[in-house]
Amino acid sequence: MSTAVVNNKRENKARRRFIKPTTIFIILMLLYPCLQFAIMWFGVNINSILLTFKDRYLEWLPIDSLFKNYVNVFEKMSIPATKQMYLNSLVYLVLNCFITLPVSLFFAYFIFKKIYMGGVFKVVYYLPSVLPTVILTLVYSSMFNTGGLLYPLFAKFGINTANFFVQGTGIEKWMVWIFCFWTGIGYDVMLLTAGMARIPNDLLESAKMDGVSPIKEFFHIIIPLTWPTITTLFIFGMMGVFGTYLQPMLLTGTIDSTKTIGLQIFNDSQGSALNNPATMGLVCTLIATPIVLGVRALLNHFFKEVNF
Amino acid sequence: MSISTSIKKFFRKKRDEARQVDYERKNNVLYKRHGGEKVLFVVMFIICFIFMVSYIFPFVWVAINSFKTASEYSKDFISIPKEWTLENFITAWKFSSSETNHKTISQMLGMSVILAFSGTLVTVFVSSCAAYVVAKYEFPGRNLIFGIVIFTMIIPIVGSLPSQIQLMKEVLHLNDTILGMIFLYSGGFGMNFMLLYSFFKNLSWTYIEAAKIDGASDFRIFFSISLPMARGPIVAISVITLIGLWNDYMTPKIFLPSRPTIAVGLDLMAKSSLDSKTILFAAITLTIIPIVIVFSIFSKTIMENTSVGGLKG
Repeated sequence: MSTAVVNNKRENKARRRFIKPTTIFIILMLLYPCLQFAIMWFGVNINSILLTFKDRYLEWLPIDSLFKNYVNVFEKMSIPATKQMYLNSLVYLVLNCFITLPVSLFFAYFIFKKIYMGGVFKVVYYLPSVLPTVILTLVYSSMFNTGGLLYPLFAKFGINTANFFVQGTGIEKWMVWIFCFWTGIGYDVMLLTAGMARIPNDLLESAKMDGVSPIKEFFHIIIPLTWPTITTLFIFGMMGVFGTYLQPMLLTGTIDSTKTIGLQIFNDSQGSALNNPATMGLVCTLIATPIVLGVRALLNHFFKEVNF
Repeated sequence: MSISTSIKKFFRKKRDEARQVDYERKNNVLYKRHGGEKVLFVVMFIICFIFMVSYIFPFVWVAINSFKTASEYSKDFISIPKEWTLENFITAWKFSSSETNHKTISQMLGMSVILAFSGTLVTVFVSSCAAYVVAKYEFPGRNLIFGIVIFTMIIPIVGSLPSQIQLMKEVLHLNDTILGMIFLYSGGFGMNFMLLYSFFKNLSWTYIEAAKIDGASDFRIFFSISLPMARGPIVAISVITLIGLWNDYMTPKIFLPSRPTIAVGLDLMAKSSLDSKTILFAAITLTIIPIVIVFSIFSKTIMENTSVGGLKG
């Protein structure tokens, strides 16, 4: 055996004994993020599942009534207030996906087509997205309450806007919906204009030369080419069913007519019986996941392989 | 460079941009409009303008009223103040009550600054570390990590809050601590990870190879070459995260109840018995000012880099 081979073997042995510096680097760089993720995602969600099999004192449920919490969630669905809560939440799907998104698409199109002051519109519309929801709700409700800017205007017609956020008038839910629409548009407009900006000018120029009308251009060129952004925003809007809780809470407080699933979970989480909100959350996740994934697949199917 | 020169430069740039857009609108075939199309654009302009006013006007109204005396506001809440006063700002600055946990606005702002800045610093750094290693190094489990990150982003988890509360209180014992808040904010595998991952993935490896040949260690390469090269996306992500954390309501409300941040504190303040609404308006104005300043400086950066999932507290 030559000396070179012996040396090589010795080196290999030495290498095996010590971990490579690059390996140490990888481990150190990933240690904290992986640990945090393991605790805050796996730990939290596994604990969430375990909570659904515990009672209100966080003791394990007896084996014969292990699914008691789940049964409770489904049984409560027949209570009118709970029914209304689910309906209230579903409204946000309609509002986000079929009102805010199309209106934003429309606005984004005109901004993209360089409407006068379009750049300013885009920035101003986006302003609510960078302000705390608390401030937005305070300013919005101040406008209608006594001493607000719109209060005397409506008072001329004999309407008391100070009652607009109180349960029983029937207007309170409209006030929350209008607020969500008002503050939600800017975010959608911004992402949609960014999506539209990627459309090559040549394509639009050739369409223009061929005499395509703005409406045709909008439906046959702009929408298919911004479809990935629209799909993402649609899915995001769907998640509003579970994610909307701050707006109704801060505007009207927790009242039956505006209560959502998210708000119920948020409120219950601050009590001691954590099993109830955890079970409700898990049931919603189990229902929402296939729907969201299905809708995503369906929407992606519409304008397949749009390349530009 | 003096501040006035930078401001002048900023406005000159804005003017040039506006001129360019104007030129395009007049001369580019794409934006030439005729007959009905012109009418449509005029109608849309009016609608867009009304919308814009609806966003600006309420805030201007709040700001103007914050300069009025309480008695003037009670008589007239529409016109411009006859007598401008800073009294409301002074009262708001000193205000504290049992509802606000005896914390003043300055303390709330201080808490917001601590949490937003340290949270941003930690999460952006942690995300950069994770994104860099996953994007640039071959190691067993790399695809698994990436797969899990994508999976967790796709699955819509509802209501993990109760479990989070229990874990923070009973297992980690980090409830109601600043450290606990930073821990909650310090996730490394969110949207920031995805943005930085795609940046590092497309980053040329040549500089790093050259540094490696010269004998630089992996840490040295990361801190001296890779991180500075990623300055652009890191600044963008930091600004977006900073605003997001500054505005966050839910996390401090639940996990830091004894020390409210400004977002939580304003809500508490609105619920406490204030002598006049003008004090609340002054507090709102005080809170908005730093955000508007940051937004006007970084509006382009923020808007170009915001993606679904980013921002919104």
